[in-house]
Amino acid sequence: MTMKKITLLLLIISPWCNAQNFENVTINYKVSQKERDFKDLKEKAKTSASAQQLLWYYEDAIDVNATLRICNKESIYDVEESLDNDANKKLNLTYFQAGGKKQYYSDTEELFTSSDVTGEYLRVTQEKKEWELLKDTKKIGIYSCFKAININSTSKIKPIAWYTLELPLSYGPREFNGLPGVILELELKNYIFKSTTISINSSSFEPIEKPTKGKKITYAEWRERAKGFFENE
Amino acid sequence: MKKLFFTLALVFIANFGFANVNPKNNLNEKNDNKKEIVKIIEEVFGCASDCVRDSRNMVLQAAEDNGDNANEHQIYMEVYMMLYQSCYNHNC
Repeated sequence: MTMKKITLLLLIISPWCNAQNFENVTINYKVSQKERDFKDLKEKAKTSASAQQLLWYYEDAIDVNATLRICNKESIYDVEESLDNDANKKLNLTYFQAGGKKQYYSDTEELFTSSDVTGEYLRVTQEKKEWELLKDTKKIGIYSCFKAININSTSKIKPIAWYTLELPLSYGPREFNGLPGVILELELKNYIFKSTTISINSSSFEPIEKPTKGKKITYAEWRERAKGFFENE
Repeated sequence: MKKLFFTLALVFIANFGFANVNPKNNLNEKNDNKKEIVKIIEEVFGCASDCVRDSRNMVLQAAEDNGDNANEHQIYMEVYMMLYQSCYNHNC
């Protein structure tokens, strides 16, 4: 067999081998608010009650845990239920940034959220993420990771993901999918998702249940429903 | 004949009296009820609309802090719903 044929054969069987290696993967993330001084908000809080209230919410926010489970080209991501973090039942804003009550389901065809946060069950198909893959690398635990920037994000500060090719499964926290490897760290402007534990081929892995409850709508349709609600007056 | 006039006069007085007392009482009662209903509506809806305004302001501020447009992300609708619910439960 010539060298070319061997290389070709390796290329063909390599993804199959990888897929065989990962029957199921569970990644736990800790989601935290980044250190910041709230300088602008503190200034606004001097004249605005809602800014002051928001500042209190930020100060009281606590880290939350979230889980990404991957099996047979399907994944499901959800956040551990946040208990009210004091007797006054204040809201933990980190919980919502982590994903809140929504479940994020993904397979080879689609990625959608499922929740009843607006009073009715809805499944909202998410828009596909576009990434710029960079050469920067860093080690997260035992895994070598590459940096990628989400270039079609509508946020002013583009989300940054660190993914590893050692787990070649294109999933990540929340709606951040589509990279050549699993995302082990995700950085938003004020929040960071850090993987804490990774479990591979666990025998106690429970099958993923695809959410089926509620009407399925596209993100454009959801945007149309919510249109103007948060426009500045 | 005198008796008839007397009887008619009594009926007139009685009617006049009722006409002037009962409707007035009814009217006062109705006005009081109306005032009470308006007060409740003002309290509940005024309070609810305060919660809408405050929750919206907080969400807009949070989205601005995060460099996001609140209309573009499902997260902010969820935050709004929770803020509103919390405000309503505590204040209204």
